[in-house]
Amino acid sequence: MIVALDVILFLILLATAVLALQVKDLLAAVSLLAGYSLFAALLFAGVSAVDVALVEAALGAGVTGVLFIAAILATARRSDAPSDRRRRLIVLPLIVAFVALMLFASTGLPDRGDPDAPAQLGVSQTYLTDSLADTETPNVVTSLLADYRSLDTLGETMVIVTAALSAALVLARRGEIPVWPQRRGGTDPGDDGGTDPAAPAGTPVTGSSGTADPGGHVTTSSPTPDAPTEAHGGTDPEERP
Amino acid sequence: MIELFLARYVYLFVLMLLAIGLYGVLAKGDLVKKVIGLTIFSTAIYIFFIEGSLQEGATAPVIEGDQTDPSLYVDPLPHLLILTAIVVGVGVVGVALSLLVRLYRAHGTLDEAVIARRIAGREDPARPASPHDDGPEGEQRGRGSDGGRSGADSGGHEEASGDSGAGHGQASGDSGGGHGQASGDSGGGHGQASGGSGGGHGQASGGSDGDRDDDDRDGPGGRA
Amino acid sequence: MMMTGAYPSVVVRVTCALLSPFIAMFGLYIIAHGHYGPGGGFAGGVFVAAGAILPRLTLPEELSYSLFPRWIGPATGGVGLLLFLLVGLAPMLVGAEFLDYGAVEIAGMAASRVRYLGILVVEVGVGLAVFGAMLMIFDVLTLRDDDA
Repeated sequence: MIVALDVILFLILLATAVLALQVKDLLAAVSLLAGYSLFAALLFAGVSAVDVALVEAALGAGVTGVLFIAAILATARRSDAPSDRRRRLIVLPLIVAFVALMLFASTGLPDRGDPDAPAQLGVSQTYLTDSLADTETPNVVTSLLADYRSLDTLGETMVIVTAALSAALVLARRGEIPVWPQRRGGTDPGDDGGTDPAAPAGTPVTGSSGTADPGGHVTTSSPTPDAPTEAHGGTDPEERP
Repeated sequence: MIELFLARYVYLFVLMLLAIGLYGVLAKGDLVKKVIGLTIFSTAIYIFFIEGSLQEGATAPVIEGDQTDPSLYVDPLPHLLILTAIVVGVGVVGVALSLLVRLYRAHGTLDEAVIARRIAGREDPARPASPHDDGPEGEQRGRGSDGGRSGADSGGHEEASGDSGAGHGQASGDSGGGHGQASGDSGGGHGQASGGSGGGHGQASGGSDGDRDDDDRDGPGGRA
Repeated sequence: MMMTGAYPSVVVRVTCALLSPFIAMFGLYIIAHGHYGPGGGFAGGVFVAAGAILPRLTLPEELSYSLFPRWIGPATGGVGLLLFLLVGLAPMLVGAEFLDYGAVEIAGMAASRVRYLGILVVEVGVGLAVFGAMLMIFDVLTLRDDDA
């Protein structure tokens, strides 16, 4: 917790945040956002939150950027929505009110690094004292995560898996995300998504069911030039020239 | 003054970051920019929590030897909360982005105002050729028996029609379960079905023939 | 424009092909080492997912999708969550509360050791779930239908 380093990092964070919102090219905006997350991770490392810094660097600066870029490549690269002046006139007073309210509320918060702050005197003391004896785990964050507060973590894990499943539900078509290894190569009349009477037509299979979808192909990942001529069922999409 | 700043500067900076993120969420018209604003906002909250765990003269909450004096280590509880919050935040971003891609497929734009007008039925849904074509695998996996339904579905892809039409085409796409699977011989069912389900607001701009041409032009390995 | 598939530059391809197994290995190390240092299931799962996503961005598709097929994402996500749930249910068999690993008695092992092992299994479960979820979100966002 070197104050000068903190202040410099905060200034960089402010600059990257403003630029990420102002740049018209969305890929540049996402790069700036990844930089923002990386500097936030440095800030976390600077205040001894090593676990958080690790996750923020891997997720915020890494995977989030990849997901954003994937979405941008699937949509539009330029942010050409015209700025709406009326909307800004409504929004700016709202934000000023929000900041004023928060400034007022922050007067009741403890000073930075205050060891007598109420948050420091609660249950965390017990965790720090007992973790080694209870669980033989020196890293208190890990023992908190997976032992003392594991119900919390179970809920979070469910949220993650549910989020992934709902993303698949929104985007994937039936059978595109197989949940089980598919037979590879060759054509199989029984493996035809088109003439499968068993699968109810109204239910898209998104991978949540845990059983193999009989019509589920691993879809072709590159456009096949002769696709239109083979536009009938029974062609295994994995066959590629 | 300096002392006040040293004691309080975290709140100041976090507030500025929160304001920037809030501005992005509220004032930006582009939906991707809104999600970026959301990320900025939530990261500012992470910073607020983590800075709140700080303690003078304390270090990372990894116990050295058997020194279990709590005053030696920073508060681990906010670390845990933020650790899981970051991961959940990425899950939220993933769902948001997939919804954006879906919206773009249906409307051809990510401008919030345009989409809102279109859903409210205040804008003519007929729009220029969709920037998005159904991939070739959609046709490859075609099912001839479902010509009508899948035709209706790709109609929903090609255009967003009418006040109820946007919901219509989309709903049929969801319940259909098979998106854009019009095979070559069911091309006739294409325009017809989309006209029927969409409330008659303009036809699918390109039949499956047009899609195919575009795909041929792109070709395999057309990575730019 | 396509997200996945072979990247045109050979430098990028070779670098990423060399790098990705080490990234995944580092992720496994982070999961296993969560007791003693920074890391654990969440961070490690993300690193392993990064090691799986990197080949998809740079290598030819038949290679990258045979290394980590599409079904890996949903399958490991479900398996990880299931592992976590089963570990939570195990104490209930001996009459203790949900997720109270210390109550399970294993011969010759102190309760703290059992909790230590419980933490390890939970971290592995979380790592699998996070890996599966991240890979699945990426796969869904890059489905070929999107980039015409």
